[in-house]
Amino acid sequence: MKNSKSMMFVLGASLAALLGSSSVAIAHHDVVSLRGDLDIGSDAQIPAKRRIYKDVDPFERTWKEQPPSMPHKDYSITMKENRCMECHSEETYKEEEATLIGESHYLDRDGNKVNRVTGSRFFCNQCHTPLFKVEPLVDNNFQTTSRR
Amino acid sequence: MGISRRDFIKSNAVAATAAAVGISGIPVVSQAKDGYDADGIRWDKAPCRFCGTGCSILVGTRDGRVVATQGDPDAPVNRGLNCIKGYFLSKIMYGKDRLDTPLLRQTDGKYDKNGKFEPVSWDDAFDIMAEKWKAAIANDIARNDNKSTVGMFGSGQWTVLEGYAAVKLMKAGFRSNNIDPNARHCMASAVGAFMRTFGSDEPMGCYDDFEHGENFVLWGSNMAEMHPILWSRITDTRLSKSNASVHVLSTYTQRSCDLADNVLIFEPQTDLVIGNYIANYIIENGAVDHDFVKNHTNIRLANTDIGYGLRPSDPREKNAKNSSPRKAQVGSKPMSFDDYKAFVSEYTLEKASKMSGVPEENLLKLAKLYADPSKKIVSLWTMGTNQHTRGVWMNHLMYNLHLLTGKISEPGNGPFSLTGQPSACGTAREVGTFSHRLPADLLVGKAPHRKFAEKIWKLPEGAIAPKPGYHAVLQNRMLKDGKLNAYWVMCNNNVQAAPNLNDETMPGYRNPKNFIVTSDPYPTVTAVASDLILPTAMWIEKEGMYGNAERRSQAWRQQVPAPEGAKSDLWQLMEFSKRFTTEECWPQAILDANPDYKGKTLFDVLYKNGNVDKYGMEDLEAGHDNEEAFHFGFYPQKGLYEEYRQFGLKGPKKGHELGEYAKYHKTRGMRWPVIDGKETLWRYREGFDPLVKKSNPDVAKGGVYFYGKPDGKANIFCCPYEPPAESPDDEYPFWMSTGRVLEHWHSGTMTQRVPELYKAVPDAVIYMHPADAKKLKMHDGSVAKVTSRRGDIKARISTRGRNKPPQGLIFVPWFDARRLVNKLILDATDPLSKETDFKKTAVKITKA
Repeated sequence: MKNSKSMMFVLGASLAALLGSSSVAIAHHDVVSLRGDLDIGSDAQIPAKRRIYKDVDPFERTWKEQPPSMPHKDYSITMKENRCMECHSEETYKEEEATLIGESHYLDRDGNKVNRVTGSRFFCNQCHTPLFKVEPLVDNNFQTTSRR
Repeated sequence: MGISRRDFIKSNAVAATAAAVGISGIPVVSQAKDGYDADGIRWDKAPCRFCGTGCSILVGTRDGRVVATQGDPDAPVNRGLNCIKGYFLSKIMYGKDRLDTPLLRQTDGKYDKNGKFEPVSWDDAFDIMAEKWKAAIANDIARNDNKSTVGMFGSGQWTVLEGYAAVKLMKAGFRSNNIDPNARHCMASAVGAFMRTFGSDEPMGCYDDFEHGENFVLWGSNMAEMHPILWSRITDTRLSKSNASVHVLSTYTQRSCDLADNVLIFEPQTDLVIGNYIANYIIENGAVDHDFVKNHTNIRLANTDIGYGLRPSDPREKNAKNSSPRKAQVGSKPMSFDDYKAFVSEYTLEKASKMSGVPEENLLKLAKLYADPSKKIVSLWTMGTNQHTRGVWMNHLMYNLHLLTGKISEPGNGPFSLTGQPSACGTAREVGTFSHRLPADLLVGKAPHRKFAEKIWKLPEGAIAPKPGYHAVLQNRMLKDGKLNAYWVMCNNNVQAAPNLNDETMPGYRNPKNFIVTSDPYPTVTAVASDLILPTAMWIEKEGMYGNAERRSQAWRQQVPAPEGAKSDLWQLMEFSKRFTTEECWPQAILDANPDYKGKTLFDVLYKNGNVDKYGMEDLEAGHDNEEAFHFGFYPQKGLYEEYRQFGLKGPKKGHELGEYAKYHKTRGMRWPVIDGKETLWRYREGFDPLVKKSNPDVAKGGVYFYGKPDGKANIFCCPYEPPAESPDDEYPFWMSTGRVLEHWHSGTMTQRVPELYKAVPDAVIYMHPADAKKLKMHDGSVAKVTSRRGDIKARISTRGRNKPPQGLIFVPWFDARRLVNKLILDATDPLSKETDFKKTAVKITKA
């Protein structure tokens, strides 16, 4: 019985191969890692030159609580100076036509309102990054909802 | 199997009955009612799947799928905040190439080590696996040389319950101590120093130190990227307290330096010099708290010239005086304070500055801070210190600074070893999934400890083998040498992670004598290097518990079903145990002396032992699936936990007491020791830790007692500078360090499959100083080949990126499966902890 079960799997796999369909559930049996066809022992391919998205429209979120990615390059943040706030703070966002940082960013650890970006959210790059213009390495089946 | 799964409400049908169900004890986001919000999304808690910080996440599920995640506002660790990885947890289970059937290498329908992966049923998968395991065990019993050829490489990402079930199966079922977690690569040096210094593993302090503290010193840690939420708490303190300061010791400039008042970029390995220099400064300047040193410490001189944990045939081992036996490596002898003073006196400011390359003023600034009794100070470290051929020593040198000054075990003052993985503390260390350990700091090498474990497990005397098994690096060597033949890799990606892939790892995986099984949700590099792949349920597809870096244990419920065909590690371990009888696994002598155990399966004796199967379906939380309970007919997570908890409550070592299982589901976790239902924030000080008074009734109010040691005293270990195993030379002129980046977790198995995280950091790059690039006639963006004595990779150079190495050093992250950079690394370890040094490899760089 066990054998017939696995035979069915094999049959299914070869059928899928014959039909050349990628939507058949068992088509992933060509087991490849993130290296693709590259053998583990072989040297890596030369990576493509990557470029980031610069000054494009804001990226759509896939759900409401997701931190937005930066539609531009990143700016330096040091203890003395947070250049992100030159555009994204309450005082500047309108004039700079930038997205205002979330309300949560004006609350301290205990939930009290503060009048500048709270210390625990000072380093914007912990949650927000620029994106490179690349296709996903592996497609992701996460289903978005209406909650954007 | 009294109750069928149909009697339970399936997660994917639960939304419809939302109002009636409710999730007890889980306060949720404001608009949600009884765990469900207006959109019909159920919100429930789970610890983050990634790092050792242990943030709590609110997971939004609907129709059996995750539809959103967010930071948990009620969690003391993160108060609603996540890092970028934590925010994208919603997508980690949905990579298109999720595995949903076991895959076996076959030719013409039969197992063939050189065949191609073909799907098989779970039954067939376990059949071939059991055949290989039984053959290996039969040989072991026949040889009777106490050297098992069965092994397992586990994980600090296993749940506590899974790790515990694995320890039982390996150490008592298969009678093999060849089980080790990937935490060997990250935390073993910290463990070694904790045991040698305090006699009890894990930190005395907790995350509350970040708000209580004033001065923070990073010794080989890039918290800004690797522990971002803890860094956000330190940032908050630094920006809001006028007397706060941050000091960063690192071999290259990195993001944590953006918050630093004092940046100390040192030559690799010279942290040992800096540690001793500061001790010398404290002594020379009369800053020693002599009462504390006299009453609470012993001073010991560590054996030196202990080798580098390489194969015994390596000249570096042959030439080292104390590289073997083990006793010589770990040995030490008592030392007087005056002798210690004389020993460190050679580590002068001038010498420390000259050897480390750090300007004298920066060193002095740091030394003064440790020496000033009015300054609170928290020392923090991770892989820069632990992945170090003298990692245990380096941990000691930091403890020495706190012990000399008495700045320990109080709010805002103390050494704090940070953890890498989400349950390196909970599963690897507390459960004891190391090759030499048993739960709650017990050791396989100690007869009373084995006896105690056998009693709790209701197993015959002698069930646990007395010799420590093979640790991580040794497992790969033994696979190569054909001495480890039946091998199970679970919840890690060691082919990508381990050092020296070409010379040590792959020859073992492809050795025709060996059968290698890898359990993983995704086709990792390790999975495709194996012979059998088992598709695995992950994270909230199962119930679990993790233990974070501040001793906080956090539990979660199963919240969605796994893909059809994927099974949790716990299911796999327990189900596989059914295929073995005690006769097949234990020597005749044990069975003859204990005939009641004859004719039983390992499942019967390990899991159906009256403890693990004690709790029935009525104990499950309504509205939540539990695939393992449905399958086995009892509630294994609770049974395993409550059995495991006995080690802390009744065991020979005090200090690892845990609370009741149910309470962890109703809270955002508790920090052990949990005494009378209450967590402990600072260990070893009266007033904070109730075990102090219990261990020493005479302790002064607010006094310290290190009860992990029989005399209540911690050890100051005197350790010198010794050179690394390999240093740059004419042929390989650069230092190379490998490590992580913020956006990716470890080998990228989960995060490279999240489009936003992949797009944020798609490839590993070579971080390099622009002047070095220029000398090599290259620049930012050039493709370079990095070669060590063990292999090469190609990647692009970044001279303007987030990491800014000094001249002569490069940094390359290891998350990128297409550039297996750890193959360049020598499999040298700290000889004491057996942890590999991933931070100091000699390489050359050429145009590609």
